[in-house]
Amino acid sequence: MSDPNHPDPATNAEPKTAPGGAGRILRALRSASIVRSLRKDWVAMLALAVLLILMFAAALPNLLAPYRVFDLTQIQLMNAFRPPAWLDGGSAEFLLGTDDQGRDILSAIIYGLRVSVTVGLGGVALAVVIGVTIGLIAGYAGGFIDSLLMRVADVQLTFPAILIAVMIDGVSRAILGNAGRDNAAVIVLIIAIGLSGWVEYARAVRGATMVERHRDYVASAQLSRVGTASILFNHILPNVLTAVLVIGTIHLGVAILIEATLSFVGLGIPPTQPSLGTLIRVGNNYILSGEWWIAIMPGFALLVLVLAINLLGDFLRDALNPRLK
Amino acid sequence: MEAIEDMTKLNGIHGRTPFRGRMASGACAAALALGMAGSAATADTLRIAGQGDIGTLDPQAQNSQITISVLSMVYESLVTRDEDLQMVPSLALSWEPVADTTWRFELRPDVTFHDGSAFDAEDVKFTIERAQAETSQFANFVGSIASVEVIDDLTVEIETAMVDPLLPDKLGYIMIMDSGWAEANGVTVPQDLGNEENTYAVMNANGTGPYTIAERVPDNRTVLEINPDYWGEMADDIEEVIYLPISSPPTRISSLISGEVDVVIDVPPQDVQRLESTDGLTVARSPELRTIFFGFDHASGELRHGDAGGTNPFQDLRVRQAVDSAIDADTISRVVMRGLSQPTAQLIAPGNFGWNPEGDERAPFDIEHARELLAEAGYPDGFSVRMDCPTDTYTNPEQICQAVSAMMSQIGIDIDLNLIPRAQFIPLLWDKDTSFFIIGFNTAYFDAMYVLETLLMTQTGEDGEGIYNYSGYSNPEFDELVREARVELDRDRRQELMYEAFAIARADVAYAPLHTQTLVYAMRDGVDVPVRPDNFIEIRWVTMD
Repeated sequence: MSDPNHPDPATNAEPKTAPGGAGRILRALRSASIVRSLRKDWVAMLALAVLLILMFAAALPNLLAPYRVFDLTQIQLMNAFRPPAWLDGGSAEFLLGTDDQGRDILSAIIYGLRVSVTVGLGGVALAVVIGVTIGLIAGYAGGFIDSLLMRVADVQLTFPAILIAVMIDGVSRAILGNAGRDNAAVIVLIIAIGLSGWVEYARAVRGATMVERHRDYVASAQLSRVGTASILFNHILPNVLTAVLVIGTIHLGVAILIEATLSFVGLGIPPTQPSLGTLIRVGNNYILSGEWWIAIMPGFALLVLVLAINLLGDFLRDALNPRLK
Repeated sequence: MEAIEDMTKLNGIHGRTPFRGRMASGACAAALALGMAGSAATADTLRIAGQGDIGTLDPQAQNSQITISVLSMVYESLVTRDEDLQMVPSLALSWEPVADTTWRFELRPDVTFHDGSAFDAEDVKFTIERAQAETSQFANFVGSIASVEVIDDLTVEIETAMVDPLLPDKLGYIMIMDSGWAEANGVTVPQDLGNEENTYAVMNANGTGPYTIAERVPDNRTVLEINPDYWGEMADDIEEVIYLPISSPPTRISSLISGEVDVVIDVPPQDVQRLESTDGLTVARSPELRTIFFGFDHASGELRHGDAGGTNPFQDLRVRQAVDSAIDADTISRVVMRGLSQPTAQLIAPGNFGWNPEGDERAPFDIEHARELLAEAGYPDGFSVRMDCPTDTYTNPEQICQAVSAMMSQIGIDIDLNLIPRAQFIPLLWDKDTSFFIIGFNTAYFDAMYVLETLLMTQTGEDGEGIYNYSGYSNPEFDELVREARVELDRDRRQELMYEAFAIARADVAYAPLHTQTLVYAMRDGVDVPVRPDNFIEIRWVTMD
């Protein structure tokens, strides 16, 4: 076996990876086959377009939002409960109406989008890092380590993601105190989503790794005394990334929903820095009293965001899976 | 009988509330007799939903409205209130002053606790002494008492350290425990709630009231079962009463609309109209004898939570004045409370003795003036401070605190809003670990003396003086006036002194008053829960078909 501490300089040149293993994503992109299949799929095109717009809004809220909703000096209680512009009493000043504090709902949604997407992407990224690492190790090592890691994954799967997220929220409140927890809400949620969502990645990567590790290119790398870490991350990883990409896209939708759920029940982002879920929670107080737009508008934004992500995820799964072609 | 006379004169207010006439006494007695006879065999349950849970079953551990409201179904005091809020006998049959500083109480015979033991004078002595313990939150109510003497089984004499015309009123808040039960279960001192102590009395109760505790699951439900041996009169004989804390307002309201609960006691103002127009539901309201206001940390040299360059801006009168003038109470009343509140400049509500009809003019809402005051005080660029705000007590506190945060930002005060459940909020007050907070306060026995003594007097640790003075406000001139007023037997003179004391606190901006709330209960047709202005759910008056 290779010894990572004493690599042989003469044979350290990376062996050519096996044909067909150079990363289906890169290849697919290069040959533009994925672009071609995207052109044929107008639903996926639309989903991508919508997602790009939403991501742009989330990335640059200052550019698009008419008001700075986090700036308390801009909020006037007198403007509260204005209906959307097309209803009686609405005005073009507040296109989608205002909430109970007089915040412009359109702006709140745009800023909320940023919080939701940040938490979603962060959570997914953390889950990917944990899941892929564990999956690679388990699949490559096999035997006892594999059994141990996969049993841990099984146990983890018996807890619903929300339950894990609630537990992490509780722990963070105990450690940071309530105010501290609220200030670190984004990070706490990213950790909660990351720790509750890694198992799927681990399983998929483990399966793919078990297949890949018997391939010739791995054997040749081993013979060339390439370090284990290098084999895992430089050689095997690119070949199992397809699965990660597909799971990741779907998981992003789930992660954003988990964030929204936690914020809705009051365990997520505080109302001073609202995410989409927080906005829906605030609006829910007025759902019976006729000011439906406070909850429905951010709810609709959440729906469109998650739907676009899921449609795109479906498309990627189909397009990148050679067996379905 | 100065105290009782006070109550009579106070009676004027009740004509303005929908409260009077709810139970015209003659009709009431007839209905009562019918109710007793007709529904004796029906199994029925009254489900009441409110926003927060009760904190304990220990009757001297937490002076918090929902806690004492639910516990008053299980435990009873020597005196209680009738439909016009006049003092009437409960466990005491009669009381009278026998000397300047001595009150004699004749107790009701043949009353037993839920475990069957007899109620007697020893229990009264024991409970009053229990309420004087350090861990008691009711120390103020018994603060004037020097000693309790058992004359015979059914007579006690209470010796006060000074003249205390309000003693019987105060004893209305002391719920009597069985001394034998308390000793047998090791709960002779109240639970130390501040240090999260757990005792037998926290989950178990043994009172003389119309209900016993059948089940208690904290933060979930409290199930009360009727006490068949109850000595008193009841308007109905509802077999089971369940109190359910449901913190989310729309969930609470939906539960009522869908029939999962029968009564909701904390109705958000925004839902009143909708509930009033819903068939099968009734909405009842009453101005509450409670005031909502903001408190500052007057005592610390440096802000505990916030940043003002190592100082505590709230020690400067001009800063407090600035906060006071930057609060737009009218807009809060109109938008957040939908008119179900009355902006005020006082710390007590109309209907309390000591409320000044001429004292309700707020400092004008004036952002420019507030900015100038801050600049004069040396904070031209403002400062940052944490505001602590409970989310499941009072009406729409979260919305009020957010609105005030926005208003403070207009004058450069940067608020870090700490929205927390009441269970986490109250310990912050106890520890005085708050720099800026919202609080609601009512006058326990409809007399401003309670507010003056417990909320505003310098905290001495004695006799409950300043026991709820979480702000550290201290003004010797004010304290002197209160000491003078509390032993004054002439009613008009006492009122005059209380007006003067309040004027000092107002000039000092000890607190920044906001408004008095309107209490709203909603219930399904066929259920009648009268709304008491002090927000007690008086279960003895509740009827259900």
